[in-house]
Amino acid sequence: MNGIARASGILFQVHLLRTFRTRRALIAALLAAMPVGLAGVVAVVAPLEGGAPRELLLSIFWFFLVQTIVPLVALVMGSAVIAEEIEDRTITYLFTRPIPRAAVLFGRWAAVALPMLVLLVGAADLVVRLLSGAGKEALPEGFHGRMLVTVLLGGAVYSAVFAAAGALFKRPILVGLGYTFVFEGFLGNLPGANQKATILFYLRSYLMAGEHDMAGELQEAIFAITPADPAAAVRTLLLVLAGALALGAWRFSKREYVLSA
Amino acid sequence: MTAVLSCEELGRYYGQVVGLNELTTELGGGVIGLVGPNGAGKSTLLRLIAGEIRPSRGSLRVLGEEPFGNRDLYRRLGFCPQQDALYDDMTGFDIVRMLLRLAGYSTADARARAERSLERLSMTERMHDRVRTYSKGMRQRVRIAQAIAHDPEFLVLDEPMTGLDPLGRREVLELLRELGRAGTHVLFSSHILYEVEHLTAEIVLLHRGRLLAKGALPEVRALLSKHPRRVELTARRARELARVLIGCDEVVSVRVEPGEGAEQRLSVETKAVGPFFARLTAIAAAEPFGLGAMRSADASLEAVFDYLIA
Repeated sequence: MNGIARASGILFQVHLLRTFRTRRALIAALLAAMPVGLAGVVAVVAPLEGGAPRELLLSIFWFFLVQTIVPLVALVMGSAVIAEEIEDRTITYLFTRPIPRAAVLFGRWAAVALPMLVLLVGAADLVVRLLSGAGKEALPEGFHGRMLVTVLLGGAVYSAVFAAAGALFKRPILVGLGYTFVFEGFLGNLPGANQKATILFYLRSYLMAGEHDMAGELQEAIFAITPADPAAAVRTLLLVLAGALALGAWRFSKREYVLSA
Repeated sequence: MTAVLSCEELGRYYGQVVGLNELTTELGGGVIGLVGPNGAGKSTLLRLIAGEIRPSRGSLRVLGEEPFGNRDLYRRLGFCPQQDALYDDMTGFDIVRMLLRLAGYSTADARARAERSLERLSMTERMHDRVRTYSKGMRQRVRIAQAIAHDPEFLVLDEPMTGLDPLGRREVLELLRELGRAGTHVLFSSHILYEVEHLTAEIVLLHRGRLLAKGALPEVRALLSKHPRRVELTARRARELARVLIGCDEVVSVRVEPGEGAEQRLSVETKAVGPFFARLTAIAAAEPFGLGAMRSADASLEAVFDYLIA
C-alpha cells in the first residue's frame, strides 16, 4: 500500500502542474465559463423584469451546470488520465518502473481532479452568487453551500467514471458522451425507478434534501421519483467514485497497450 | 549462471500479423546485438522482454522471471523504447528524476542520479530545458539516460542510435561498451550491422519473426553463406544450360520447368550465390544459351544475407 501511495503521490505532484498546460484544461475552462456567462446575462436582464423566478435560477444551475457542464468538463479532463499517456506513447516509461500500475491511474486522476474541481466549484460559486442576486426570492439558508458540494461531488464522481472509461475503452470520449447524454440525460429524466441507476439522481437527492418547496420546483420538471436520503446519496456517490477508480485500476493493471513505434 | 533471457516457442501475433514466431533460445549475457531487417520482430521481442506486451504463446523469462507487470524485474531492468515519445513539456532532467523517484529513490538520490546519467549522455548543458526544444538526438539521449539511471543489471535498447549524429553514435557506443565491461548485460537492436560489429561479436539474427541465427558474427556469416539458396532463370536452351550448370561445384540441384513461348524456366539451388553468379556470367559469355530473366527465389533471405555479408 505504501508503494501505491508513494507512487501515486509522485505522479500527482509531477502531473498537477502539467495539467494546467494542456489544451484540455483550456477547453474545460471555456466550458466552465459558459454557465457563468449565462448567469451574468440573467443578472443584468432580470432586475429589469422585477427579478428572476427561482425556477429559472434552479434550472440554470441544475440543467445547464450540473447536468451538462459538470459531466462535460469531467469527461474532457477525466478521459485524458490514461488516454493521454497512451496517445503520447509515454506509458512505456511508467510501465517499466517498479510501481503498481494502479498508481498511474490514481496519481494522474488526482492531478486532474484537483484543479478541475477548483475550476467547477469556482464557476458554480459565481453562478450561484450572480443568480441569487438577481432572484425574486432568497435561497434557503445553507443551500448555497449544498449547491457547491453538489458540483464538487458530481465533478469528482464523473471524472472518476471517465478516468475508468479511459482504461476500459479505446475511445473514452465517445463512450463518455454516450454515457452523459444517453444514459444519464435520458434515463435520469425518465419517470420511474430507472433514475436510481444514474449519478444525477443521487446528486439531486443530496441537493434537494429537506427543501420540499424547491424540490417541487425542480422535480416537476424532471418527473423525479422520491429522492434518496441525503446521507445515503452521498455514500452512494462516494461508492461509485471508489468503484469506478477500482475498476479502472484493475483493468489498467491487466490490459496491455500496443503502442506504435 | 542463469540466462538473462530464455524463451521457448515464444510467439506474438497482432491479429493476423505475426510479430514473432516460435522463438526458442537462451541468451547467456554480455553485450548482444539483435539484428535483422525491418519487420524481423526485433521490437516485438524487446517489448516482450520489457513487459510492455504479453506473449501470444510460449514462454519468456527475463533474469529468471516473467516480465509482464513484474515489479521486481523492473528494478533490475532498464528499457529504452524505440518510439520517439517523451513528456515534451517537461525538462529532460525532470523526466529522468521523476522516473528515478518512481523506481524508489529519495528526492536527493534521484536528483544526483539524474544529473549523473544525463551527464554520461553529454546532456548537462541542456538537461534543464524543455524536451520540446531538443533535437532528435537529444531526445534519444534522454531516453537512454532514463534507461541507465538506476544502474540496471540488464539493459534493453531498441534502436539506440536512432537520431544520433556520428559523434553521438560514437559516444553511445562507447557508453554501452563501458557498461558491458562493468558487468551490465546489454541487449540492443539495430539494423546497421556496422554499429553492432563495433560493439559486440555476439548477435541474434531475426528474420520474419523467426530466429535465423545466433552466436558470434563470423560464425553466423559462415553459416549463412553455406545456406543453399534458389535462383530462377529463363533460357531458350534451358536443358543444355542445365547440363552445364549441374557440373559446377557451387550448384546443388537444377530443375527445368515449362516457361512461356520458346523459353523454359530453370530453378537452380546453389550453396554459394556469389560464385554462382560469377560462373553463370562466364558460361553465358562463352556460349549463348538464350539466357533471359534471372532472380533469386529467396529474395528476402537474400536481403538478409547481403545485409550480413556487406
